[in-house]
Amino acid sequence: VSDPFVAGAYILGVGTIVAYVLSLRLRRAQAAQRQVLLEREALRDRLGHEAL
Amino acid sequence: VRLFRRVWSRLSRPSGVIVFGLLAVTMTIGLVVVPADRTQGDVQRIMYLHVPSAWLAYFAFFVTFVASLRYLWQRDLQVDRLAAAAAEVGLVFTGITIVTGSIWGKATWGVWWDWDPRMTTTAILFLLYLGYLLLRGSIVARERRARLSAVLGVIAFVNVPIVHFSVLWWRGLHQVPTVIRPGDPSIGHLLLATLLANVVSFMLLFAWLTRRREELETSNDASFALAEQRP
Repeated sequence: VSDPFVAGAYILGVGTIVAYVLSLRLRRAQAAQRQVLLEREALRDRLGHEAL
Repeated sequence: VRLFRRVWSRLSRPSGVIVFGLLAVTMTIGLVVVPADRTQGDVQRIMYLHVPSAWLAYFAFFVTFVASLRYLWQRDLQVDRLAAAAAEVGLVFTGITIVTGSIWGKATWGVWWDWDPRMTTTAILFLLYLGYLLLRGSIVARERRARLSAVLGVIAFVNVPIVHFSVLWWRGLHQVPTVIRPGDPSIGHLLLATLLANVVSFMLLFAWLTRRREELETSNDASFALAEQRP
């Protein structure tokens, strides 16, 4: 398809979908990382409390 | 509600390969396989992206509406997560609808934007659900956030039928419905079949994206719960 309007619409539409999928993956990785950190801190707090 | 949950559970588990593979096939058919429209030419091919995006957004906001009602009734945080996930996906596809519609408008009407009833009500729809997500982001307490968002999720949905019927109620540039209307669809069978194939692949995409977004919301809630437990 050589029509610039069609090409532009599909590039923007598909580009937005791809960008959204990537943002979901990135946010998911950040959430997993945050959860691991919080679990580690919770464990450290508990071990520190038991030592006291 | 139980039936909805069962259907949702089945439909929201398609693998990414199937979803994106089907999307690539149906989009390619719309772009290069089916013949161009006799009146508009190639520009009409924007329909295979614009219309499924709009219907996906309508459906996403319907899911938010049902899940919000259910939250207000049962106070189940899992359905609040579904409402939030569907609203975000719906907002993304409302954005795609507006942008592709604007490009199609420039090619056929000669203007990028007009305060036509369909375009104006769609812009209001976008702002309403943007407000919904901003409201969610501004409240930390989970129950309060879920309750207030559910109220807005129910109220905002009122605009969806207004968007759809705006072309019948008021005169504007946008054409009247060609598929969801009284009587037979007013487009050719081949074009209609291609459009419906794209609608199916967009609905699978909706299920896939919403499930991923819901999992993210669950993960975020688990992190908040862990943070709250800390002394």
